[in-house]
Amino acid sequence: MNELTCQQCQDAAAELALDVLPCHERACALAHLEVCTTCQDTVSALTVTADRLIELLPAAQPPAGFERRVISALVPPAPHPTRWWIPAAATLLALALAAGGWILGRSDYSSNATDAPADVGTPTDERTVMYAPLTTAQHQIGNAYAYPGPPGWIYLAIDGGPASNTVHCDVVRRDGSAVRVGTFPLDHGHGAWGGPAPVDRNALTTARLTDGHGTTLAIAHFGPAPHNRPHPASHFDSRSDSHPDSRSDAHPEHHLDSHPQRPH
Amino acid sequence: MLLAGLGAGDAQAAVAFVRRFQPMVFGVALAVVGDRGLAEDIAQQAFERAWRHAGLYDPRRGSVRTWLTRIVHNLAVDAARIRRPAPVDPDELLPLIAAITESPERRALANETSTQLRTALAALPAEQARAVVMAAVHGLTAREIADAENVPVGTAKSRIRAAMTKLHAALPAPRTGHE
Repeated sequence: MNELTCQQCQDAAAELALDVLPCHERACALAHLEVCTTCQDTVSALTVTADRLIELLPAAQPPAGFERRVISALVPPAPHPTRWWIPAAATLLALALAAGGWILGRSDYSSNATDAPADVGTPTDERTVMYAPLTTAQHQIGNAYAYPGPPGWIYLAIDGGPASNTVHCDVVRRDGSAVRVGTFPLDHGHGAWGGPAPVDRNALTTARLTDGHGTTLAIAHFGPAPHNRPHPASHFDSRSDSHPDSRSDAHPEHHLDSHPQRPH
Repeated sequence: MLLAGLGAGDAQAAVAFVRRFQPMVFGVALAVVGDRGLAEDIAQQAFERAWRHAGLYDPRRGSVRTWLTRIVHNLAVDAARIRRPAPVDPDELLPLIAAITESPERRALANETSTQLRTALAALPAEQARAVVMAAVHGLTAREIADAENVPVGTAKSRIRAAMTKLHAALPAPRTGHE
């Protein structure tokens, strides 16, 4: 690299400030600036002039939509909820619904205990939330909500339930098969749980609350009984002949549908 | 403050930043490349680059406007070089020089510095004005200017140097500041 004199650097200063000096000449000038503060000052002053010159260029309005496109590029919109969000969001929704539903249930306790399953939302929408009161043989102890998938979810809210510390939620389908979808604690008969569940509007019949021994504590009827269980209303009767999982020694009151759980 | 918000990814800062500077950014890009579609792309790139590198902005080296102008100008010159292998036609510079120097509404709003610079540019001999605009706006080297003007490279260099010296002399002392 050739070393420049101050005069040569001063001659090149304007082009260097304008950033139009060819590579080799630029490298030589920069090397000189490393050791010459006088030339540095000259180039700095001319750089300001070059900047001011560019700033004289007339402004112009960009095409319509430019601002929106640029801002979208700078600050992308929040990502769409991914699938794992849906159960969480649905659970929150169900919490709100449960609160309202429980108030309604308290106001007409006896009739709610035998209410038919209902849709929360537009009845014709296949993906509206399904509701059913969660009842023992005697009374309602909570509310159950199910949302057809995918992804499906189910939510139980229990108030005044059994004293069991830990309970399970099983869903029963029309073919009689049961799937355990969740386990959660109760605190003096109170508790709530929600989570992903295989909810098919046409296949789901009940959500069942059981204790650690497999004893059914309460049931929410969402749809028609399993094919081999013709009378869901009599579910709490002793029916060893009607339920595929039922036990003949089921107690009608405390062992409403006592049966060992299927392995999962 | 705008740059602080920009560096922090603040959406409101982004909106304020773009709204404030988009006419200037687009105007610089359009002046250099002469094509609205390409200028739009360049202007967007400039905002994105400023957004990404807001933390590198050094107020001691000039205002935000100056910093952003440099960014968009560099991008535009690079794009123009790729797109336009032939040198700029000097005749095409006349409207641009006129726009820079003869803009009543801009004069009315201009600060002292820009007014003095416009006046100085308008007072330059035409060949010096063309040379300095080709270099400053279009990023042409002295050789490219010489080719465009059919003059020796040394002459082109002399015109650039003479023009810049006069323009610099017309300016008040350099200032820096935030914007």
